[in-house]
Amino acid sequence: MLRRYLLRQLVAMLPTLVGITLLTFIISHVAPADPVRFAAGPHATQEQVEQLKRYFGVDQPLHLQYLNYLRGLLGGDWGRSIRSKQPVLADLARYFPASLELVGAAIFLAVLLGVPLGVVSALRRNSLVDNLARVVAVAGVALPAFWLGLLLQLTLAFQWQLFPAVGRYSPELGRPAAITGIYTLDALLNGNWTAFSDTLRHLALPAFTLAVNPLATITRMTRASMLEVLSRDYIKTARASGLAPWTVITKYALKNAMIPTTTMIGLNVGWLLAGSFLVEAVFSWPGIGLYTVESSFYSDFQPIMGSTLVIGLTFLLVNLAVEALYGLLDPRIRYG
Amino acid sequence: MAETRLPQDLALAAAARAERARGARVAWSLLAASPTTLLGLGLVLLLILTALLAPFIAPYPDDATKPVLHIRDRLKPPSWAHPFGTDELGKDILSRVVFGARVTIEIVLRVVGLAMLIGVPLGAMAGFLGGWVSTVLLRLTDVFLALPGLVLSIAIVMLLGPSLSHAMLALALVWWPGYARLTQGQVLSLKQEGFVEAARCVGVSPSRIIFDHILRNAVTPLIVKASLDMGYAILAAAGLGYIGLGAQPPTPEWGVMISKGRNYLADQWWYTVFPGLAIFLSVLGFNLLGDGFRDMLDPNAHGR
Amino acid sequence: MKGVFQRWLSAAALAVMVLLGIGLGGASENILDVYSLVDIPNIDPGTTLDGIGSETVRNLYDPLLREVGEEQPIPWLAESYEVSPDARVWTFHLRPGVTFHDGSPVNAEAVRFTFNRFLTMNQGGVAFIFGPVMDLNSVQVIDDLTVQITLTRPFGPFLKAIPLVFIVNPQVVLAHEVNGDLGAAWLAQNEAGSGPFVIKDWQPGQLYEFTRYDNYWQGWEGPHLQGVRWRVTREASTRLAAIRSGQADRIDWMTADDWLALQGDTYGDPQNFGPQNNLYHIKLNNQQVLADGVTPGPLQDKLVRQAMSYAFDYEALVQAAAQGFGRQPQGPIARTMPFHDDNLLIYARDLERARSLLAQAGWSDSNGNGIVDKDLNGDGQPEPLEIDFVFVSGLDLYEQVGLIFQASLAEVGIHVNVIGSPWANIVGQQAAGPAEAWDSYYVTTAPEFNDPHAALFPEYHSSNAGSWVYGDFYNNPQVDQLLEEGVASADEARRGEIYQQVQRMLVDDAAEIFALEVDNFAQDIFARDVCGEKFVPGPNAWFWYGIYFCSLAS
Repeated sequence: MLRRYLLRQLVAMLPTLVGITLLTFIISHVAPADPVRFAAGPHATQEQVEQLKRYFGVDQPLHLQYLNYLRGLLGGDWGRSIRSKQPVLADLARYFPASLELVGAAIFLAVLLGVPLGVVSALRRNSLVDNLARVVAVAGVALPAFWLGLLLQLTLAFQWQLFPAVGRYSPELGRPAAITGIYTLDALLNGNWTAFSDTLRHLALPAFTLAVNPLATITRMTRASMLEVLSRDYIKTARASGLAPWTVITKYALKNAMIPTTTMIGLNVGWLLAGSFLVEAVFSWPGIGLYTVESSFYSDFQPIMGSTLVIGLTFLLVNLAVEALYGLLDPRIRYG
Repeated sequence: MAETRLPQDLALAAAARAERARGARVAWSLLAASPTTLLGLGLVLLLILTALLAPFIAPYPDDATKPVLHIRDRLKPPSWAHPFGTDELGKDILSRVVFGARVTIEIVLRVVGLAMLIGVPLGAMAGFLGGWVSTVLLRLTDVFLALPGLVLSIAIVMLLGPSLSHAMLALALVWWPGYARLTQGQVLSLKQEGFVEAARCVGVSPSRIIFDHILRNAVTPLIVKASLDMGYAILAAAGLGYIGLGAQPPTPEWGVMISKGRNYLADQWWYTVFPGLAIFLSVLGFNLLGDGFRDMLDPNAHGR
Repeated sequence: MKGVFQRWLSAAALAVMVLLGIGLGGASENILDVYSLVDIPNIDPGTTLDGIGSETVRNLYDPLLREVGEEQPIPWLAESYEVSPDARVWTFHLRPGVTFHDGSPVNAEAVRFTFNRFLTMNQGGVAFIFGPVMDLNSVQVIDDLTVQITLTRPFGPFLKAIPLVFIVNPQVVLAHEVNGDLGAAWLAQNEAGSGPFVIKDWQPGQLYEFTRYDNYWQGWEGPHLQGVRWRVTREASTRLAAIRSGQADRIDWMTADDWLALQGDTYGDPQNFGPQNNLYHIKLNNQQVLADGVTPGPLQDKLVRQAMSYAFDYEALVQAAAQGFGRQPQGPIARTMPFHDDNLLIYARDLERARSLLAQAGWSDSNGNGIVDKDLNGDGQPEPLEIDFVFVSGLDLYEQVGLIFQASLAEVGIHVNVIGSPWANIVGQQAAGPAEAWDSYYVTTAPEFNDPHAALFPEYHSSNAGSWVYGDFYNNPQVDQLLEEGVASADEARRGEIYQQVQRMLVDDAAEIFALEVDNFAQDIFARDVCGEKFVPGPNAWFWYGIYFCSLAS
């Protein structure tokens, strides 16, 4: 049942993905920018610019360019960056794992702190703890991320030198041999503990900065759904029947309450992939958000399209995975 | 309009009104009981008051509204003359923060208002009509939700040229699917409710059903979402300002002020701290208010 | 519940211990840590000329002659050269025994390949400079170490421009050719040079590491760096904190404020921040038309441009942008440039003069709204004198210039709209011609070599329409002709006369606002322990070979 449902959903993704490429193609071509002339430098003659346009294949009519792009996508050729001449796929292989690492760590932190905080808030509703958790959670969201990041960097990294300020690893120690491109994971796979600790320390500040926003939403969402579940009859019955409060909460209440929270987490993964660019800029984290934004600034079409597609695809896949999880959390859910 | 209403319809409307009035009373008592919600309300009121009274509060209104320079006073620390210090062109930061409240309110209202204006009718239509309309809308919102909002905003601003109103338009275009989805979901569930069925049975026209019965009842979650989004709109505009695509000079927009001030973070702390504080308090206000609303209006959450 | 909290707490404590357990990596060895705003997208010496790519190129590759800021470039890969009396045939004798990084010899064939490669690719960069005076037969291999370059016509600044040609290794380039691109894609992020440094690691958007080429022909006697680390660091306050905390040895793209804040801690050698050839311009669209597409705009009127030149507050710009470490320029080229005319008129700020010039041009404030107006299209309705100024979004200094422009012109009744736009958009709009182009914008130009041709030709010769440095759309046949004559002449005295005449004409026409000349201190700030190499205005880049740590030298 589940497998057929997932397959059908996967097929249904195709039009969405084509829609994304089409929309991105249109919006990245309507700006009055001229990335080729920019790449050719201030002194290029018209003839030299034309020459470069032929090199990149952007001298053709737009609809042909789009069709060529789609054909390339299927053949594993995602085009080239006009600024750096590098294949987009190679760029994405570099930037995307960095983003996955950062967003993954941020979500992990947010769940680790947010879920217990939400549960406690719900159990001690309107108590001091609840109000404090609310203010702290909401206050975290209310700080612009780049500002929070800069403040953390100036104090923790430069003032007290507790953490590295920028980058993903210390060049003195070297970069862990690439397997997945997720450095912390690579270090673990290599069994290189020095590199693991080093990359983890580099990850700490940006991940924390990025976690603050989802932390707030996850806390609030967990609290709200816990409250709802706790008012249900079966929880009251379970309590009345003398089950230990801890068992009631973890085994029955929390499991059911996690459905909206899981949805929230899924949505956040997609948003953070591109939305993390401010934090990436502060910590020089070479992620896909920064790659997308910088490409957008130069109207570098194919990197924009490639990264948008990858982000969109990740978003859809993560949300599909979330739907599949619903079944585990609540066996009553059927996939029709 | 009233005379064309059927008696049954009037009775239903009256019942709904009574329900709402009771709701309002309950809401107020709940509000009074929740200190954080009150705090949120207070902060939002403070923002509105500052915006209204800006010309009377700001010591140097020209610094916020006119192209002026005081190069000799640049980057002066807080003093009696300039309680929040001055920026890199010598402008009074207090005056700019105070006038920034007006810009912030404009952002908040226009982004959320426009997103709702697009999203709510589309969502209501899709939810009510169902069928292919709903499928098309679902696919469209899918594309918009999966497309990084930032890419879309930057592209729109690059196309139209950077300005605050274009940034607001871009944010609204990115955010409307949220409202469409929410409204559609509400309409779908309300369609099954007894009072809607009743209205349909007595022959009330579909458009009246949507507007009089369904939307009025779907408004609660919309208000909650809107008040939370108002906070996020301030931050999103600040994010666009950070990359130079938001408000243009000399508009005193807080996000732009702190993104410029970040270059002076180490030695001229006052440049970012005061606009940062203003953003912080406003977003905090909208969020606490929205959060409080959600708590109050959520029927499951009343009592334990 | 309590037990759970304790578990959470101990897990958190463990995490913190893992994170903090291992101290910072060893202190930096003999490696220069550069914390730079800029990424390095392209290091192909055949297609990149400007910016950071060129600094990297300068250290990975060698030119035939090297620019060191003296009167003439000094011998480098070429030991000596001869020139024919008509200045068209140049013969270079290569230094024997020099090797590329793969060990193969640097020979005449490599020189021929290098020239023909960029001439064939013809993608901007050096092709712009040599394309008009060379063809594929210009470079002839005489013997293994002798190469002869025959120009299709005389080229006055040839010697000054030769240091921009970096010799590439033909075998390595051709081994990485894809679809006949002459290695363009590969060479954009890899190197095939003979310079003092090689790439150790290349992590775009993040970190670039360079290390010594042990067999460098100059040798490594005396104090030298072991390597360079280039970290892309986008936030100015991060870079500032990095040099303060000692983690960075050099930072760039700082403001005068930062430099003053650091003054006590940093490298105080005055040669580090002497004058340079960079000039800051406010470009004015000399072919401006109104929205209807035909009516000549106010900026077509020389009197209006002169009035603006008198109204602009140069002193405010010097203070705001350079904290006083700069000055109003004298004409269109920097004072350090050869053939600069020291007697040129300077438009010192004079509001009365500006107002009377506007009045003379027929502008008056007829409706009393504080903005002067004039009926331009003859419809009986006066048009206000209102122009748009565009700056590159996110570049705060550029925005400040706009605000100063706006405030100072407001004093004579000219309204300026200050608008930000992404760089790629500005480039695109300038390329679309004078009707689509912006009325005015701010740009800094750094001539690629120390000759007025490099500064004047791209900016004021009408053949450059489409390029954003030709933002004035200045179209003066006489200037065109003089500029063509100047570059084609090898007679220094004649060239001097020509370029001084061009400077006078540009100033008289007030082609644009010559806004600011600034000392080089803010581009790059070094830590105190950094010694050696002085800044060379021509290349606008550092040669790492000459840099070392003072403390390691003794």
